[in-house]
Amino acid sequence: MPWVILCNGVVKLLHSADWQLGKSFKQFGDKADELRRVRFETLRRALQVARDRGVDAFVIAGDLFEDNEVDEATVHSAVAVFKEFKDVPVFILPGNHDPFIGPGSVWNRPSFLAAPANVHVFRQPEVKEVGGGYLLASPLQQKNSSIDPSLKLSDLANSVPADRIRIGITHGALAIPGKHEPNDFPIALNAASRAQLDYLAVGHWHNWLLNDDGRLLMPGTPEPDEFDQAHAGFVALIEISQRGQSPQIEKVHVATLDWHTLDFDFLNVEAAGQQLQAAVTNWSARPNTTVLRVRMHGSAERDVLADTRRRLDDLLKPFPFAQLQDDSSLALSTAELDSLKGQHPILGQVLADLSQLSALTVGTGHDFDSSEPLTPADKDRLLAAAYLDPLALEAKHFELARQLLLQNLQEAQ
Amino acid sequence: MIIESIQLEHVGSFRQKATIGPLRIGINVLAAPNETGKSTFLRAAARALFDKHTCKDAEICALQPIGSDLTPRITVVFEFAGTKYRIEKRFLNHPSSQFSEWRGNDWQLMADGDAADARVQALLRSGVPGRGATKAAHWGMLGFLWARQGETTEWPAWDGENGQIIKTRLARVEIDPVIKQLQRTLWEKYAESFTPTGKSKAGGELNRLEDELRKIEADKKQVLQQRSELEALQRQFAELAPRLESLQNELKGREQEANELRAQASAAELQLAKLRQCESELDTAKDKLHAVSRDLDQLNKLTGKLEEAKSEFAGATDALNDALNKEQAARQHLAEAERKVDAVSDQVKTLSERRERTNNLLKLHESERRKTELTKLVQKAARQSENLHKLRMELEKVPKVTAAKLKKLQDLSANIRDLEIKLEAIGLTIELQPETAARLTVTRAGVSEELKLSAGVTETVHAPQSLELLLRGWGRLHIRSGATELSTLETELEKKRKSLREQLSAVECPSLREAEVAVARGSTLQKEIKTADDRLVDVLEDFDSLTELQSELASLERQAKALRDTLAPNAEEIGMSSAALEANAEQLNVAWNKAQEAQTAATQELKKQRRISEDLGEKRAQAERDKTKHAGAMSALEQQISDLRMRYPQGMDQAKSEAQSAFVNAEARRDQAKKALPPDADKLPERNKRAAAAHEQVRQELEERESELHKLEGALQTRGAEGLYSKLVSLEERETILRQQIERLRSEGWAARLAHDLIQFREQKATQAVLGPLEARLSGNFAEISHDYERRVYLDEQLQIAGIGTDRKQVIAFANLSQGAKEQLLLCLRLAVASEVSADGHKLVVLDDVLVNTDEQRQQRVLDLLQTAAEQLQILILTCHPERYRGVGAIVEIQSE
Repeated sequence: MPWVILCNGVVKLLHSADWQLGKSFKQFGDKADELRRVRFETLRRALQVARDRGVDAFVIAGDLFEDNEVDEATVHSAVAVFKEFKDVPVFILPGNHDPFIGPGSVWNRPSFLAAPANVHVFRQPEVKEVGGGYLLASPLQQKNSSIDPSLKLSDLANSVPADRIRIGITHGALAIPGKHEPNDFPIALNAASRAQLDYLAVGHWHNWLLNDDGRLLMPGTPEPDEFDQAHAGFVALIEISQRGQSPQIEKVHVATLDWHTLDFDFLNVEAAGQQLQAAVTNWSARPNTTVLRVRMHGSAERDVLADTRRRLDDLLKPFPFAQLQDDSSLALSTAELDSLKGQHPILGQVLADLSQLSALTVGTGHDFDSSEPLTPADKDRLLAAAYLDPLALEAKHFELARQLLLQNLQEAQ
Repeated sequence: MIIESIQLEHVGSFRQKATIGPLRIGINVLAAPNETGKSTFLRAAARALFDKHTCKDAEICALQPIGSDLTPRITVVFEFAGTKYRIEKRFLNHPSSQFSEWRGNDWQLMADGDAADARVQALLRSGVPGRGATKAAHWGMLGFLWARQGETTEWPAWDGENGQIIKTRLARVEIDPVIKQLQRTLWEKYAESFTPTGKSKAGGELNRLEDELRKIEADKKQVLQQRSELEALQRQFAELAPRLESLQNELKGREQEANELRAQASAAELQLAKLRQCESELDTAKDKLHAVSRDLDQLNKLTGKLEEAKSEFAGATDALNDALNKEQAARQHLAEAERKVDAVSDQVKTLSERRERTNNLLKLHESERRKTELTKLVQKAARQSENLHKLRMELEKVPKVTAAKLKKLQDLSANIRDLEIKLEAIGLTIELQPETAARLTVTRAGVSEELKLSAGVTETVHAPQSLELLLRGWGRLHIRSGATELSTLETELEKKRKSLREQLSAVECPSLREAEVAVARGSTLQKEIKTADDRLVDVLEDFDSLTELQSELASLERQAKALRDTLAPNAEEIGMSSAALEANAEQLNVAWNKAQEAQTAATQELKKQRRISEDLGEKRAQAERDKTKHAGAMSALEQQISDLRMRYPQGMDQAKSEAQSAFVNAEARRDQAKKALPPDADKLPERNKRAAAAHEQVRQELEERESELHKLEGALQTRGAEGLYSKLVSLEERETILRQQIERLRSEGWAARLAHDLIQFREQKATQAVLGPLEARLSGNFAEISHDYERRVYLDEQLQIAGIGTDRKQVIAFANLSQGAKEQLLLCLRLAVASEVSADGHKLVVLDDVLVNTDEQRQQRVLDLLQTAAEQLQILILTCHPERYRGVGAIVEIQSE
C-alpha cells in the first residue's frame, strides 16, 4: 500500500462529501453542462489542497456521484482527476446517492475496477490503516434505510488496536428531532463517542455542521448547487495528533462558483439600481464564476420598466450564469388611468371585467367597480367561447391580460 | 359603387358583344324572359370586379359559352365615391386585366394585370380567397346587397370587415379605432400561438415547443422505464444472493444424508441377494417334486387311452368291408343306364335330319312362287314409271310461267294498250271519207301502208304525232301534231313495251298468248303427272319404289338358288306339292317329339345311377380313412408311454421320494436367510434414491440460481453503464426550459385572448343596447309591406333576424317563416344596410328575381318601399315578369351586336 505513511500516531486528512458529480441543474438551461463541469475544477482544487497540505487521506464521505447511473464520461472524468493526483490517497465511501448495490453500481464500472492505486472504494464495511491510525468505513448499500449506519463502526472498532487513532466514515442524516426522515439513515448525534472514535467523517447534508463535541462533522457540499447555501463550498482539513485528542478542524474554501441573489425593487428604482450596479461591478472580475439571480419586484411606468429591463440586460450580459426573474408590472397613476378610460370608455369596463373574471375563476383579483358586473353565466360563456379551461387559469393570466391592455394602449397613444 | 354599364363578349349565351347600360341612380329594371342572360351580366360583372384575371377555376370556366373555347371578355364601368372607373378583363386564354379612370374626357389606364385586380379589390374592400375563385363572402358590401337568384332568403354572416362595419353602422355604435387596433394587436398576439379554437397553431412556436416537449416526455418515459427495469434487476439481484447462500448450505446437508443412506442400502443389498439365492433353490426343489408327481399321473392316463384305441380299430375294419360290397353293385346298374341313353339319342338324330330337309324343301317352293308374283309386279311398275317420266319431260319443255307472273304480263299488256289508246287519243286521228274510191298510202313513223278507200265510207287513220298521206292524183299531205304530252306518253309506252318484251323473254315466251298457253298447258300436265304418280304407288303396293321392288326380286332369286344348291332335290322331291311336303313334315315332327321324350327319360335314369355310385364310393373312402386313423392313434400312445418310462431309470416311485426330501431342506435354508435381514431393508433403496434425487435437485437449483445471478450481474454491469441518470438529467433540463417557454407563450396567448374577448363582449353588449331602434326600423318597413302593424321584427345578439311576432319570447323563427315573408324581411334589411353604407360609396342593390313568392298586393307595397329607397340608391332589378314592374324606374335592355 504505497499511500501508507508511517508517522508517530498523527493522522491528517481532508474530509469532503456530497460532490454530487453529474447533478442536474434544471433552471440553467444550456448552462447546466458548464455547472457540472465546474465541479471537477473544484475537485482538482480540493485535491491540490490535499497535496499541498500533505494529508494521509483524502476522504469522500459519500455521494461522490449524484447517481449510480451517471454517464461514463462523468465517471471517467472523476477517475482521471484522481489519476492526476497519484500521490494523494483517496478513500471513497458510497453514499445514499451512489450506494454499492453490486454489479450495477458505479463502483463496479470498469473505470473504478481499474482505478489507479491511490484510489480505494469501501464497497464493504472494512478497516484501513492510514497514517498513524485506522479508517473504519461503513458504506451504504441501498438508497434508504432506517438503520443507523454508524452502528457498524462499533463492530469495526473492536478489530483495531485500542491505542491507535480511529476515524470513522459513514453517510446519513443526523438524527436531530424534527429535522430528518426516519428512513434517511439516521445517525445518532453521539455516534462518534458511542463508537469511541476520535473523529467521525459524515456526509449527506449540504451545509457545514459540527456535532458530538467537535468529533462529528458534516462538511457540506464543496461546490454549492443552488442559491441560499450560505454554509457550503468547503472541505475540512482534520488533524488528530494522538488517540483520544480532539481533532483540529480547519474550514477550507474550495468552491469555484459564487452564488448571489439580488432583489430589484421598483419602489426605489434609484437605490435599487445603484445597489445592483455596485454588486455587479464587484463581481465583474469573475463573471464566469458568479451565478447571479436578479429578481425584479414592484411596478413602474412603462418607460421606467423598459429602461430598467434594458439596463439589466446589459449589466447581466457578461455573466453566463445569470438569471433574471421579472415579477414587475406596469403601473399607471390614477390620472393616467382615468385619462385612458375617458378616451376609451370601454376600457374601464374591460378592466373591471378582468378583475371580476379573475375573482370568479381563481378567487383573486383587483378591486373592481363595474356598472354592469359579469355573472357566473357570463364567465362560463366567455371562457367557453375563448376555448379557455377555467381550471388551467391562474391569477397571473388575468394580471398579464391587464398588463397587455394597459401597455398596448399606452403604446397606441 | 354605382354600375354604369356592363359589357360581355363570349360569355354564356352571348357569343357576340352584349351590353346593358347606361344604369343610373334609382330603379333600373332589366326585364327579359328566362334564359336570356340577365343574371349572366351580374355574375360576369362580379367575376370581373372581384376575381383575379388569372383564375381558371370552374366558376370562371362556366363563363364560357357551352361547348366553346372562347375567351370571356367583360367590361364594367362603375362609379365609386364620385369617380368613374372601368375594369376590363379577359379570362382563361391570354388573361388580362386593365383598370382605368375617367379623367378629363378620356380613360386613363391606371394599372394592369395583378395590379389592376388589386386596385379594384382595394377600392371595393373585397376579399381574396386563399385559392380559387371568389365567393359572395369575398365581394365586400355587394355580398350583402345582392339578393341572388335562388338565394333570396339567404343572408350572409356578419363576418369580416364589411360585415362588422355594417353591424356597427346599423347599431349606431361608434368604432373606437384605438380599441379596434388594440383588439387586432391582441388577436395577433393570440394568433401567433393559437388557432381561433384554442388549439396550438400548427407551425407556430408554441406548437413546435409542445411537439418537442411531447418527444422529451416520451424519451423520458422510456428512460424511466429503463431505470425501473434496472431497479427491478437490482432488486432481483439483492434477493438472489441470500437465496444462493441458503441453497449452498442445503446442498451440503443433502450430500451428507445421501452418503449415509447409500452405505446402509449397500449392506442390505448384500443380505437380500443371499435371501434371493435360498428362495431360488427352494423353488427349484418344489418344481422338481411337482414334475415327478405329474409324470406318474400322466403314465396312468396314457395306459387307459391305449386300451380304448385298440377297440376302435377293430370296429373301423368291419365298416370298410361292408362299404366295398355295396359299391360294386352300384357300378353294374350304372353301365346298363348308359347303354340305353346311347340308343335313344341315335334315333332322335335321324328324325331331326329328315325333318330339316322337309322344311327346306318347303322354303324352296315358297321362294319360287313369290318370285313369279314379283316379276309381274315389276313389269307393271316399269310401264307406269315410263309413262310418268314422259309426262315430266313434257312439262320440262313448257315455259315456266307462273300464274302470278302471267297476271303481271297481262296487266302490263293492258297498260300498254291503254297507253296506245291514250296516244291515239292525244295523237292524230284523221277520218277520210272520199267521194270516190281511192287509194291512199299512209306513212307513220317511217312505215307505209296502202289503204283502199271506198266511196262514202269513213276510214279513220291514227298517228301519234305525224303521218304522211299520199293521195293519188293529188299529192302528199304531211300532218304533224303539236301536243307536248305525246312525247311523254311515247316514251312511257316504249318503256313498257320494252319491259314486256324483256319479261316475255325471261319466261321464254315470244308473246303473251304463248305465255297464256304455257300456263294452261303446264297446269294440265301437272294434273296428269299427279294421276300417273298415284297409279304407280298403287302398283308398288308395300314397296316405296321400283328399285326396291326389283331388289326384292333379285334377293328371292338368290335365296332360291342357294336352297337348290344345298338340297339338290331329286325329281320326286321336285315333283312333290307343297301340301304333300307339309303333311310329311307334320309326321316327322310327331315322331321326333316322341324320341325326344324317350331320350330325356333315359338321361335322367343315368344321372340317378351315377349319384348312387358316387355316394357309395365316398362311403368306402371314409371307412378306409377311419381305419388308418385308429391305427395311428394306437401307435402314438405306445410311443408316449415308452418315452415317459425312459426318463426315470431308477423308477418313478424312487424319484418322487428323493424330490420330497430335497424340498424340505431348501425351505429350512431360506427361513434362516430371512431372519438375518435388517429392519425396513426393503425401503432403504427407495430412501437412498430419494436422497440422491433431493441432492440433485438442490444442486440443479443452485446451478440455475448461480447462472441467473451471473446473468443479472452481466445485465446490471451493462445496463448500469448506460448512463441512464445522465440521460434523464439531460431530458429533464430540456423539459424545464420547454415548459417555461411554453408557459410563457400560453400565458401571453391566453391573456391576449381574455383581453380581446372581453373587449368584444363589451362591444356586443353596447351593440345590443341599441337593438331596439334597429328592430323598430325594420318592423316599420315590414309593416308597410305586410300591413300587419301588430307584429314586430326581432333581432338576435348577432344582429341576425331572429323572427317576427308580437313578443320577443314568442316569435316565429325566421327559418319557419314563409318564403315570401323571408324575402320581404331580407329586402327590408338589405335596404337598411344599403342606406347605412351609401355614404361610403356603396349604393348598388341588386335584386335578382326576388319576390317570386310575394303576392300582388304586397308587391305594390314593396315597389313603394323601393321607390323611396331609390332616391339615394341604385337598385337593379332583374326579372322575367316585366308586368310586375311597369312604370317603375328605367327599363334596361340587353343590346347585342
